[in-house]
Amino acid sequence: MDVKSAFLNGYIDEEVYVSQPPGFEDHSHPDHVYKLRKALYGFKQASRQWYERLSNFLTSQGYDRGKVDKTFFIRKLNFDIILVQVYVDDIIFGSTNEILCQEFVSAMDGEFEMSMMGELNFFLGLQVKQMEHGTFLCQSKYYKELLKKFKMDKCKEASTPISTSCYLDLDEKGVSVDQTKYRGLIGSLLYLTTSRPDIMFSVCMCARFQSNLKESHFKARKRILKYLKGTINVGLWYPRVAPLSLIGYSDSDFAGCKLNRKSTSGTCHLLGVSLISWHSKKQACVTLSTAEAEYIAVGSCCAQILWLKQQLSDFGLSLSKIPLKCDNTSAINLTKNLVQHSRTKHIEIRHHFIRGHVSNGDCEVEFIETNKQLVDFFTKPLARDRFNHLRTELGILDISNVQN
Amino acid sequence: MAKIILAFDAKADDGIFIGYSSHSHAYRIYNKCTMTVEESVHVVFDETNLDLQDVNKNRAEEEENSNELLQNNSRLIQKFNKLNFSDNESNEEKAEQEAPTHEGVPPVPVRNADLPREWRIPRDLSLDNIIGQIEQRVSTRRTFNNFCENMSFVSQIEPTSIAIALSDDKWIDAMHDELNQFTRNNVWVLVPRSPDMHVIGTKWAFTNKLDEQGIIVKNKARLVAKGYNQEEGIDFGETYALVARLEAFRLLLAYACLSGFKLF
Repeated sequence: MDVKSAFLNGYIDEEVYVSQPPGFEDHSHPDHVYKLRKALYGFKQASRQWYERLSNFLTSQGYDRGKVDKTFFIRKLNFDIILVQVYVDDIIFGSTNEILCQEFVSAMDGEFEMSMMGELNFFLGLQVKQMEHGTFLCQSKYYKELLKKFKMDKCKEASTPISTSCYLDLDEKGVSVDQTKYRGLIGSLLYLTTSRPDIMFSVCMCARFQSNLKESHFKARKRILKYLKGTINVGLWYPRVAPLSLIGYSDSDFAGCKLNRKSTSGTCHLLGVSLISWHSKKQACVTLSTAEAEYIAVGSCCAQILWLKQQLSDFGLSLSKIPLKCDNTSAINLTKNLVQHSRTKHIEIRHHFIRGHVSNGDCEVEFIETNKQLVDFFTKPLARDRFNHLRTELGILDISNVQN
Repeated sequence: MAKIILAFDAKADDGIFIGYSSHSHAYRIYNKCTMTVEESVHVVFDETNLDLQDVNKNRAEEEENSNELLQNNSRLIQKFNKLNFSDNESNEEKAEQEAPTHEGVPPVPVRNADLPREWRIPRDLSLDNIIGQIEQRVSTRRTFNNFCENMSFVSQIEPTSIAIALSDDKWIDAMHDELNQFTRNNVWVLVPRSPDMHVIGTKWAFTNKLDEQGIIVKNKARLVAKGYNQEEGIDFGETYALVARLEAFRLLLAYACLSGFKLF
């Protein structure tokens, strides 16, 4: 639900004066000014003051703030729990008990002017469909507008977002393309990755070549749009029946970047079978071996797991020994014993932080065969069959498959 | 009586196509010269004349429409056009009823169900030139009524300055709505100005809110402060505000789904 004119609710601490609104001046006191008690739209501190007002109100109502995520509020009552997530003036909430929900709504309604009550179906441009046997998350409205904006709504469809033979470099001899026109495209595509992890790798790849845009880079971008054209109703599917467990996968593509021989690390995390977080990133340093590249990827996967673990403990779900799947035995051994032989002795200290968490029992690094590895997706371009297989494995489905 | 055909006379007769022969692959033609109905395969159809007329008529309509487009928005035109068509046709209907014996042809009553008529697209007119969506269903007078209802409460323009907004009743209403919210929320108090005050300017922002079909449903006026004139330490201290991560949102969604409760 939404708070109407949210920023007008935040109390202002400083002594601030504003001029009278143009066209509506007080005739008897034309020289007077308004002294503000609450914030107006346009003030630098408006959003902060609003958030402070809301969090003060919720804490006075018996809600606790999340330990890591301070925009998250929880209230526990016996065995029931209510979860409230705030995004500026958009509020999502859910509870195991209907009565807690009703209490929350009436409390909010008494304090602020609210609108758009009802079941969640739209949040920050994401379309959410809550069905009997699961939840579907997609952005198909946004794709259509995007395709229209870049005049690609009548293009041919492509089966994968990036071709396996695609190799992007600076391409200094290539034909230049007007870069101002297509800079916004990368931003839009990055936003699209919210519900479309399948384009994550290709978008990140394209995002690296923005300053001197050439025709080859432009073609790669268009390929992503062509792929989107063919998969307009695809989104993330969270099925209802699954075990409540967290699994992390990590992988790396050794020296994947031909430009400076840096590796790409890819990780993803599944709650039950629902894909909740992922990343695809070029590593900051050049690595000497696949084991080292994997070791760094496992480290970043572990960092994300720690965040998810803390967040889940706010939900009332405590997990330990979270499995972290990795397909490199040497990297797994490195997490257990720091073998100082010639090929590993140089690894930077910051990458060793995973060892502490493994010995504490926060996570457990396990071996997985390469062909069962789900994160191939985020590290290298794949052929159509493998790509489609991984897509269904990760729960990135078309809405028509979900409804049946 | 056999006709003598000279070298420069027409070799063919004009005729009107009636239908097809029931027993052979021939056309049934009414021959205008002999005034008889004939069956023949030696027929050349003259399709140019009628179409040319059609094209001309359509071009004239197009020009009319584009002139109107300059003044109004396209949705309006479509609706008005549809109404105009039906008006024209009902006028024709009247004319025909008034002078039925003039041509010796019994009047063909135009039924209301036939209105408004279908779009005819001549072959050499590109689809891009047609205003509005052809696929859109025909709007009836009732929907037009609703449209008018909406129109009378909502301004169709988005003013760029306060002077324009003040000349429009609907926008004045919208601004009053916003100011009423200020008084309801007890946002400010009027105080006399003193020279040491640092006063920040205010400004109106006008936006039209659209519904799914792109029809303007609300005029929204928002009073905003010119925050760029604020000075740190005097007008504001800390400004950082937290926002939720989209990952956190997905996590909540997945967790709610697995634990079996609905989100609102």
